[in-house]
Amino acid sequence: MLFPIRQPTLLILLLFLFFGSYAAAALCWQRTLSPLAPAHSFARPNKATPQAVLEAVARVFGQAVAIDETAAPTFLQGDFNGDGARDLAVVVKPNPAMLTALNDPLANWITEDPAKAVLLDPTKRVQKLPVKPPRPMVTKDDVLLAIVHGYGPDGWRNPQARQAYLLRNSNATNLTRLPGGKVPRSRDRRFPTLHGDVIHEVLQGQAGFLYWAGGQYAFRAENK
Amino acid sequence: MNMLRLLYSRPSLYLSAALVLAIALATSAQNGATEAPSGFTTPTNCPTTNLPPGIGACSSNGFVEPTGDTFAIDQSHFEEQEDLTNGLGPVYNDKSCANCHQNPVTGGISQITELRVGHNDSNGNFVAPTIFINNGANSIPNRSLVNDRAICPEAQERTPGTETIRTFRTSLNILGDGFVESIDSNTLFAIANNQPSQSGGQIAGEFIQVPVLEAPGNNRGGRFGWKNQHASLLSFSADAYVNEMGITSRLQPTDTTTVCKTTSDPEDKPDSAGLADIDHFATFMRATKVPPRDAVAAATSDAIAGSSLFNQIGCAVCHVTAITTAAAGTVINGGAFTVPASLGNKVIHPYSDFLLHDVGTGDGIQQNGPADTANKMRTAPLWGMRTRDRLMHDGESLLRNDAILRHAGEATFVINNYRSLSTTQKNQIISFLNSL
Repeated sequence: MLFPIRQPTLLILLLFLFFGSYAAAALCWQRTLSPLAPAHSFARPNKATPQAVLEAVARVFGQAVAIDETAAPTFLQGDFNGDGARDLAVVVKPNPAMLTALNDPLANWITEDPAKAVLLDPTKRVQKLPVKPPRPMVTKDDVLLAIVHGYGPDGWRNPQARQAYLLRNSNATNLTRLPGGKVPRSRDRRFPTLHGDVIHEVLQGQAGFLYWAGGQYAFRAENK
Repeated sequence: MNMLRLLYSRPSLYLSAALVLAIALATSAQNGATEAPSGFTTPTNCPTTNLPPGIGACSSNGFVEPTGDTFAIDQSHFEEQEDLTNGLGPVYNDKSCANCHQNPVTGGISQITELRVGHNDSNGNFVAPTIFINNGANSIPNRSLVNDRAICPEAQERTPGTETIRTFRTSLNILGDGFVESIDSNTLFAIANNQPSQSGGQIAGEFIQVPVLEAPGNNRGGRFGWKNQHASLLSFSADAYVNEMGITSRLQPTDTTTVCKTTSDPEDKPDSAGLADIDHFATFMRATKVPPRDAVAAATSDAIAGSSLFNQIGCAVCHVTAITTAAAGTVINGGAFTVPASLGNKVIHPYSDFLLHDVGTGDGIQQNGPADTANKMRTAPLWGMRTRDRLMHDGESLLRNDAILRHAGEATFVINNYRSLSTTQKNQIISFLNSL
């Protein structure tokens, strides 16, 4: 025999190495979110199923929203806030019977209108914070984009992944995930620093992208 | 029933928080620790009449002033508007400490933000920028803070496009910081060591040692600044004086740039009492009282219930409710300062552990700590929170609920506990926060 190790022993050894490395990675990730983590550094590839997406939406929003099955695509995966965990963006519609809960100031999600995001001027150093618009109110006819931030190697699938943003006025078309590094940059000195992936879309006839501005989502038109 | 699930799902959390609080109070009582004096008693320019409700006339916490100095003199230095004759610039952000630290009284927080920039190298390590000024003839190297103002156009800094890491930070409250300075570093270290066991390994605050400028070669547990970059109020004063106003001192004797500079270093010179401005700033901060609670709001049933919930769901693991300062006579800051009776053995309620945590809101800037601190921020002290309308380090959150929901990372399970609360319970927590 060329190799003295029996096949079952080799199989056990390989299984041990595989699961052991995964457990070590999960433990390290849980202790420290490394600032060095590049985008898409997901621990393992995973293909989202409609059922998994449905469960994630229900986990965060309960019955307050429903997935918009007419949208194409219905959902996107990506690292939208640049923390190294896989996030989920789903096109949803409000449940008309739960508008009060959707707009509750104590809701478990943060509601924003990315087209009206007030951003600080990165060309200025010391500045007084501008007046932020009031929290947008969701109406029954809105089409929303729900973004669930991932947690740990399992990303948005993790039962603990419940941090969510509900973006209003994102009734956009042609949604695609785009790595931040591939977004065409303008010469405007106010061009934002992009964390992770962006969602390229056409919003009210204007092509642009949704991006994480560090504490909120914002929309930036192309060629701006 | 939901509360029972919470308790049983995190029994160690609830018990640990209660145990820590009980031990802290028992130890304090045993050692004769008393509550630190509280009050908003530094109104700008020290008026003695027409004071608004809740604002007291200028008075200190009993800190014994150096010979020839008074609390009023210290406050006037803190409020003083600097100019070219004092050495303002060449690059600076504002002309007075109180311009950024003032709400509702001198020394409080404000909505003024500051920008820091940098980039990551090919290995992912943070690099502070080198800013070229004077048409490229001069440079300001290795400095993440970029000043907004200059005393001449040639010295004006402009952020290079290469600096893709950009973060805004609000000014901080300095009221009560004398008591924070007087916390024994071992106390903070012990809090950090206990957090993993209190949280099932989810929370692990980072304790870093930083230089004490007035005692060269000495380090101490950092506790001041969004990145815990300072442990000593005198060091912080000197740092802020040169970086925010461009005025050099004996502890920071070199200006950021010499372009357009017309004064000689150090620009901060002792007065007739032998005290420089940085001494007055440090003494002022050491002599301030801690931010007071709204006693009426705190006594409501909602706030009382909210206080219990705050502990039960785990917020208090990081937003520590009570800390006792070191005993009077303790020598700190590398021998440069002795904790006086006014600051020693006092119980304070900062609602902070003064440690660095990754709660998903990190700004990517590394300062005094190691590389892993780039995405960590100091736990924001919640005392005086009712005086703030813009929350988190960047001031981006306006609603209390939104600020809470922005916590992730180490705080994920705590915030998920919050999400599981009823509307009534969430309102109770917010009522409690609004009483601070």
